[in-house]
Amino acid sequence: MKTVRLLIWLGVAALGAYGLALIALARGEERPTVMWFVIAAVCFYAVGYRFYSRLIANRVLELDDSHPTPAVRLNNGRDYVPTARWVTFGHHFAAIAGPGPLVGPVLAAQFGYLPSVLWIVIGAVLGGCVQDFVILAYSVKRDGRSLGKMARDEIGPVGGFTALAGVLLIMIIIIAVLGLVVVNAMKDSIWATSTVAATVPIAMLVGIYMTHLRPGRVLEASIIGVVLVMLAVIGGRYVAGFSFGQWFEMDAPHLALWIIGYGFLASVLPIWLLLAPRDYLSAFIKIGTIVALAIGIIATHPPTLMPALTRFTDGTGPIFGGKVFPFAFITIACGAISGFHALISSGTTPKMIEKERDVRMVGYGAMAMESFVAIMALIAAITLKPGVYFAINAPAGVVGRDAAACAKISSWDFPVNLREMQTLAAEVGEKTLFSRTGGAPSLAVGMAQIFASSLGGRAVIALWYHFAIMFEALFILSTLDAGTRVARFMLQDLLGNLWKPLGNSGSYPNIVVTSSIVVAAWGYFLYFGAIDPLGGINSLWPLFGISNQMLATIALCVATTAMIREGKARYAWITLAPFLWLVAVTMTAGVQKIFSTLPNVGFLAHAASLRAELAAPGASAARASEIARLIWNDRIDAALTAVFIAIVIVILLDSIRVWMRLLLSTRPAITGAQEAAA
Amino acid sequence: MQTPQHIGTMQTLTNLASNVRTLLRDLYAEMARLNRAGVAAETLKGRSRRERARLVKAAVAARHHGHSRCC
Repeated sequence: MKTVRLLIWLGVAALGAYGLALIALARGEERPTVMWFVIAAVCFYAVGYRFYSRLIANRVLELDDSHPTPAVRLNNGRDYVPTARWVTFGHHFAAIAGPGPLVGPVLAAQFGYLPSVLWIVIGAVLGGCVQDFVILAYSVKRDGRSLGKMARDEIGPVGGFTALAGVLLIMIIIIAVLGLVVVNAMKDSIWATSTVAATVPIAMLVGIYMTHLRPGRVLEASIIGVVLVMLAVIGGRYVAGFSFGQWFEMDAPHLALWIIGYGFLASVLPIWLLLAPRDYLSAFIKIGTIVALAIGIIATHPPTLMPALTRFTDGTGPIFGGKVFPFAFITIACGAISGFHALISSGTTPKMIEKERDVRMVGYGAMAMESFVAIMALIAAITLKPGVYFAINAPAGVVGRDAAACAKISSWDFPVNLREMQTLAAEVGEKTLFSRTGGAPSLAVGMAQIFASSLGGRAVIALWYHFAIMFEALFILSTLDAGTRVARFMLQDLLGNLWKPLGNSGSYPNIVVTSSIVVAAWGYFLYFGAIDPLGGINSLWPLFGISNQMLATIALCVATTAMIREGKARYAWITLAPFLWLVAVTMTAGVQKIFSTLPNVGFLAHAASLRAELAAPGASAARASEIARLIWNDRIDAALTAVFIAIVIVILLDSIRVWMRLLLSTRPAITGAQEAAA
Repeated sequence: MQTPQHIGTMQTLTNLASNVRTLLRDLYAEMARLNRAGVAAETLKGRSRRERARLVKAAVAARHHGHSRCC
């Protein structure tokens, strides 16, 4: 039996290696079918889970079911609840799988499919899954402590404070960037905007149903909500025919203002009325859609149309500037490794783990699943015709509009023509698909093509497209709700240290003031992203990647320190390897984003090119005022990137200090787990 | 007559069926728990609608406090 198992695993490993080799070595017109992406990824995850995670579980973390978990020891029926492992897996996956793994791979496809697929698979198996797994395990061994608390305990007060400041900053950037993705997906589209707008009263109805009409009936209310959302997608097509339909036709800056207003409302309204019901709706639709997409890809296995590598690996990409290293590894954060996951792994999940060994399946397994979602998003992008992909994703400021855009993109050997784009736009029920930046519209087109091929054909592609847009927007708005509220709590905590009444999270004036500050912070970046002629996403998405990876460096530092404290220094390479890679990536990207002399990469170089435009004769007064605001925005972005770099340096130096002290000390170290047990 | 290979296969199928049953039972229990907003059935039983609404609101707020959603 043992020999059979060994042979099976050898077969899985060989199949994965063959698949990845086929993907990596294919050149020219001979491209591997997307099924090889699926096979290679699944084989890699399986081998990583079976062998690497087992090594970590047995040798490093020494997980043992005889140790009672915090959920069992501190069971209070509310936050600490021992939960069956499949259910905990579902909860954890639903919490970590946000819009990041969907959008990042779509944007990074400008380099071709190869860098993305390698980074998603290898990055997840050796980095992302490891981070989520070890942080969850260490949190379980420390009564479910948060990352910030563990950073304070393991590294010291400097590390702890830096982690907290980092989390607050990352929140602001993440919300702004994701808000911009929604704005670009819905601008000038009555169908998309009216459908997404309808999800707000639907969520409120679900909230009222589950608290007042039939208190407690969350599942019933969510099912009603899902049905109403589907009807809103179908009904959205007809809204344009009514006089009120024009209310939903908005340009990017106006939509940005509405989303800012929505974010404020979501933060000040009671949690049961908007945030919680949207979260339930989003979770059900998300899991259903991801399963449907996987089935669709396997059923239709469309051909790969994007080349393995494009000319834009040299840094001249139209979607965002910068070379394949480091920007492919910054653009794809959540599908390979995401620092934000460490907050969930040290948040609600450790308080649900019933048995210590369940940590492996929940921590490592759920991240492998999320990485697979990123592979599916990549497939949706690379099965689009490359010319169409670039026409949708390249900002008008780079490629021009309509016929000019087609000519420019075709000159890169990615042929596309105006008629083709007009036909596609008419098929999906949009006025235009040119320069719909942000990744969401091209993902929606790709998903709609896969769904339509397996169910309904081209006749219903518009319905699938708007379903995909609604799905992405629902995802993003639930992150925006939750992020704004958490950032508000953090700000209240912070201000409470200065003056106690400001820390009172129950005071309504306090809620309004702190919500306004948080919303103004992300609203600033969102609004300027919306008015930026380069589509905003061009500069903001790398900032999102840098901030997210920076949080991952903090998490990996905490994990490495905990390992060394527990006498497992010989295994520290497990977390040190992804940590050093991320330090190299974030530092290189950060320095390039500030100091590169190329205007499409460096914030300061972009500001200088705008100053030159301002100095040239002939600029209108309106353009001059816009340029002045954009220059200011570039400087703010550069300053923020410098803060991120400083955070990574502080964490790195502080950790090295602690590691040296621990390794050179002759006294046994007191671990966080021992402190928690005491 | 059953060969050891048959017995092994039957054992594997029995284990699989048992795992599927456990999974479905856990899922059913979780859905039922979700349909009470994570509040114990006895806690909600026999209370007024106003009181149940208050308990559900508190449970939902506790569940969604903190980092409940990733990017």
